[in-house]
Amino acid sequence: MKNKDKPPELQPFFDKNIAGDVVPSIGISMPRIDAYAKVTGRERYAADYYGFDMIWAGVKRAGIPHARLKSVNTQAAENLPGVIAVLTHKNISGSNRQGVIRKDQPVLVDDKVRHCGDAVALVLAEDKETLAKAIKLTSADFEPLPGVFTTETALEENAPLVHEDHPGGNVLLKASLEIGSVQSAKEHCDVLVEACFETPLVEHAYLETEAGWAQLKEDGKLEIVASTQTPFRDRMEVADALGLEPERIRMIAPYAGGAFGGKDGVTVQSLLGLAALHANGRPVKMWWSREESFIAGTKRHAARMYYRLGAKADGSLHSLDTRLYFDTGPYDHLGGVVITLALEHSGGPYRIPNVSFKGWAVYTNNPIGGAFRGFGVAQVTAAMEQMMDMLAEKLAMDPLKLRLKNAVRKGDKNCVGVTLTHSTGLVECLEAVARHPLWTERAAWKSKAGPFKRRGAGIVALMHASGYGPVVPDVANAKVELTAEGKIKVYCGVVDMGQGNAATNLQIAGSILCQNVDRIELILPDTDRTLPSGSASASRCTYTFGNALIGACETLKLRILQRAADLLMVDDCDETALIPGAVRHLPTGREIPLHRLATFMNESERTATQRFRAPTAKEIPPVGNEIRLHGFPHTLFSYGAHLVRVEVNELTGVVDVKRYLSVSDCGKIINPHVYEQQIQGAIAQGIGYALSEEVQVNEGKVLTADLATFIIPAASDVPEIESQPVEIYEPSGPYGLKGVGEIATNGPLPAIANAVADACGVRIFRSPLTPSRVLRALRERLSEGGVH
Amino acid sequence: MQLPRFDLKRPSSFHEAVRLLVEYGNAAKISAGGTDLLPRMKYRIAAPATVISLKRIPVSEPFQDSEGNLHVHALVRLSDAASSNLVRTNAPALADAALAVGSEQIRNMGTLGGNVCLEPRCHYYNQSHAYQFMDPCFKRGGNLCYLVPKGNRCWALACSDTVPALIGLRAAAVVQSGDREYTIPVEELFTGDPVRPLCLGETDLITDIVVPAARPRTAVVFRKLSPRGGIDFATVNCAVMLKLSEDREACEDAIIAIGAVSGKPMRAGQAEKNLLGRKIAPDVIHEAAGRTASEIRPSMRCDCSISYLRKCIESLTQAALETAYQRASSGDGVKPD
Ligand SMILES: Cc1cc2nc3c(=O)[nH]c(=O)nc-3n(C[C@H](O)[C@H](O)[C@H](O)COP(=O)(O)OP(=O)(O)OC[C@H]3O[C@@H](n4cnc5c(N)ncnc54)[C@H](O)[C@@H]3O)c2cc1C
Ligand code: SF4
Repeated sequence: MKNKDKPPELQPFFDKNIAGDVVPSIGISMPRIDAYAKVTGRERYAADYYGFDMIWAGVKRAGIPHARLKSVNTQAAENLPGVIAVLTHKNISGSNRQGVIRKDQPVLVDDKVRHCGDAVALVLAEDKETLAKAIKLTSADFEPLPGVFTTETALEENAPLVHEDHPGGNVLLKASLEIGSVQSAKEHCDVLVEACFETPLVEHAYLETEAGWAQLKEDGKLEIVASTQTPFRDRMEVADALGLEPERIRMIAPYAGGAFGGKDGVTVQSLLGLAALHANGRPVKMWWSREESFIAGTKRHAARMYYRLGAKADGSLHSLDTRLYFDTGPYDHLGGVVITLALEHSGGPYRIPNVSFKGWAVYTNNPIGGAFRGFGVAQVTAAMEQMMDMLAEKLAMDPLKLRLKNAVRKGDKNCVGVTLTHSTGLVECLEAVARHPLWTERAAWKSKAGPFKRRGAGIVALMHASGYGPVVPDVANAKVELTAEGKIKVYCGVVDMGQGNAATNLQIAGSILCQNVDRIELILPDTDRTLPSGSASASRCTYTFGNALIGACETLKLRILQRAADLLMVDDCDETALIPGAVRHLPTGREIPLHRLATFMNESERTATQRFRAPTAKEIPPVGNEIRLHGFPHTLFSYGAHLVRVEVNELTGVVDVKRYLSVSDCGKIINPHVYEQQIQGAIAQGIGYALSEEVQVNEGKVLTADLATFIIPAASDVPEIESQPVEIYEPSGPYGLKGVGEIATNGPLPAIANAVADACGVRIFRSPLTPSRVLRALRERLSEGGVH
Repeated sequence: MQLPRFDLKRPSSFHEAVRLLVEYGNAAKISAGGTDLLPRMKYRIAAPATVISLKRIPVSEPFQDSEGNLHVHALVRLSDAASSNLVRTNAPALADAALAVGSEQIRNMGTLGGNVCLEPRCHYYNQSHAYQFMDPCFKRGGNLCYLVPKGNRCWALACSDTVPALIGLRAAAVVQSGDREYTIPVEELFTGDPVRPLCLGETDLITDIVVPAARPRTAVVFRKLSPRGGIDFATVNCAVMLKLSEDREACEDAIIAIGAVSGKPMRAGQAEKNLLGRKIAPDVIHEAAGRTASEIRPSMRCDCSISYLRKCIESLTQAALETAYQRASSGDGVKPD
């Protein structure tokens, strides 16, 4: 069954914006340029690329968690009519290894299988049906090996090794930091609280599962369209893995249908590249099924976290001792970076003079732990913010006052020893919560719970770093062009995975160059057309790229005005102004249309580029170089405070989230609408993390491999969410902005756990807070003779 | 995920459907709404060479016969069953149960007959086997169980929402078997073995569900507990029937049916018996709920513990009994003598 579609156009598809005649300005809610095409189904995601003579590629996955690969039997599949090729590691001439920091993940298994989702063979077939049959016919001989499925067992002395060649054994990375001394905490603290928290493995569950399309062009160039957050890094990874020169590869990144970190790194790219190299120039498509995405894709790390927090009787924090164990699965992916960011945030946004933080990213034969919105911070915030409530209870202090007392302010050193030189609005966030009726009137609301119901309110304080930290250059390169037709092209270097940064780029360019939406075209990330600008991750997209874009637009603006001044024979370009489609000489009203002006300008004159590198912390806290390489420490943070009201059903253990308030300091806002979307979406995702989402794994095999068993919130599970920005100007940000992409994801789990504890008088240390766990905790509490 | 290839037959009567079943035997499967069958086909746990779709068979509206019995066609869509006035007034528990199934879209496709014949479910079984758990378990014709590795049988769960309600209503199924037609109480349809869950013959089809005329001072109530506000299969569901004595104080007849916790819907026989003749009061209801929870044995499963299920059974039964008592004693929803 051949595809009869026309050959694909590789131009990203854009539709007319509904508000095409609007000249954007900063600070207003504009409809997103991508909205119309997306809601009408016309946007072309990577999963929507087909084409004439296209073939399908798919993967034979190991299905067992740990084994030595003896051989792959491809013959039966190759004999099947309609099968084009069955490829194994033997067909790969490059390193056959992928990874961001430690390159430890094979494209196709050569020595050992390390988790069920490992790719053993790559099959190319004329159609999907043949592909499925051929994958089934492909088999492998394995010598099964004992596996490690918990961080505890992985760290035992004689534990089976996931990577025999790794000097650290099953410890991918150990990060630690010591400031002051926690040894004598017992003597110096009036109260100590201690606990161990466990958070689950979680799936991103984006709408668009991992997908892509590739073709080897006649000129020898390998073109790959993928749903990815990292086209420029992917190009290097694919080149290295497959043994190609990077310039032979062109990566194109359309809007992604959701990513949340799950596409921060290679998914289908190398496999597709390999397939295209064996497809005689025909286009190849790969699109993982939901189940495949669950089994082979990355997850949020499951974590076990030991905390000991000490304070003085007046509530001032004195010491914190933490040990964090993150299950990174079989490959680094970004596990080392995740544990490092977790370590940095493990003491929360507080001043604590004595800390000892230790973190281990541990190899196991479970699914791959990787990037997920929150990036390690979601886990440690869950622990630290519950510790703060436990401490408040022990001190008989109001939990909000306790947080306010210890909250970092501008100029303070945070608990990892970095002086906060940028805007620091945590106190303002907490004060806004303190004033809000959802907080001030909570006692009355709680007392009206009704029979068999208990009500509670919980709060948390949040911080989230943005950017890559000190070593890996956190750089963006923007490019804008006045086209020969007199329009503006914005070359976006950073992927828009749904968060709306592409539309924000348009807003920035339109406002500086005073052009209406219809006169601006966005070029989405493409290694041949746009400039490298790093990943769509780390709450950095608009901060870093926006800064670069402002510079590029200002340069182009000046050039346009100067050229127009010359042509109009006026002295000073101060007398001219850009208006939609033209430049006007203000004193005389004479105008020169941009398309005329463009004809007088050389191509190089019509484009402007600008590089921006994000600031880094100048202090050197006492950590090894290895940890600095993994991104420690940061200098720029967003802050927030959340409040939630819940109702717990005593009979069923069901936690009903009734109301949610988020106050955030993410700097000034360019588009309030997009900002609000980030907050709302993150909270909905966080509610899932708090209450129901858990990838259940049994000896490395995923039990919840679809959306019927992996329970994400439905519309009816998400309450009314109120979002209040605390708009503090951040001088280093574009128009005073900071990152808003991740911070709100970190709040719901600890906030809800605190609210449940407030409602029921019991704390549940293992999340998600499923009805079964809540009910068990309630019963244990009752049988202890506690309150009824 | 794509459907495998299959041959589609579209008979226009149950008669013809049965004839096709005889002709194609094991290689054919019946699809009514297809909402249970098609996902299984996508996962390749069902791979019939021929699918016999019942979509062309004319569906009659629910009607009442001269004795007041309610006849509901097996191919009635769940959304229609839920909104039918006749069903709502004569068998509100059935309407509630139909409305509790899945989501709007599922109810618009799924049928009552399909819901009654829903395949038992298990985390290991209801998933793609292309990536893991490749060796077939008992339910896929193999010789092992992933859930209970040392066991020698299957523990998949019968999750239908309407079945407990139909048991509470003492409904019966009309079955077309060859040229013959027979009637069997819904409760007796189930073997308890999740691998061959139905007592029906290979070529038998359910054509109608008959709910006996509502009795005075009687109420049947359905309750369901599931993870989310919608879409999910029950963690536990429950239907209770309560008939009161003429003075509307004592219990004259009772059914407590619990679904989704084992290979077939369960009755709490002891708890029911214990209610008979007793004056209904909060402590009696509480006791009955407690007895139900201790007598029903939930099967092991992946997503929650047995002790949690017990507790849920107790709360659900209690809530259902309370409502049933209120309705039966006030005459709400019950036809006059
Ligand atoms: C997302 C989702 C959520 C769901 N949630 C629920 C839920 O909450 N509760 C619930 O109970 N179910 C649920 N289901 C399962 C299913 O949709 C319903 O049970 C539905 O009622 C099945 O009816 P159908 O007509 O679509 O069945 P089909 O798929 O057509 O058939 C189901 C089975 O019954 C057999 N069959 C159908 N009709 C007859 C007949 N007349 N005589 C004999 N055998 C017959 C078929 O051969 C098949 O084996 C859900 C399904 C999905 C996909
Ligand atoms: S209970 Fe066991 S045999 Fe039955 S479906 Fe599940 S894994 Fe298979």
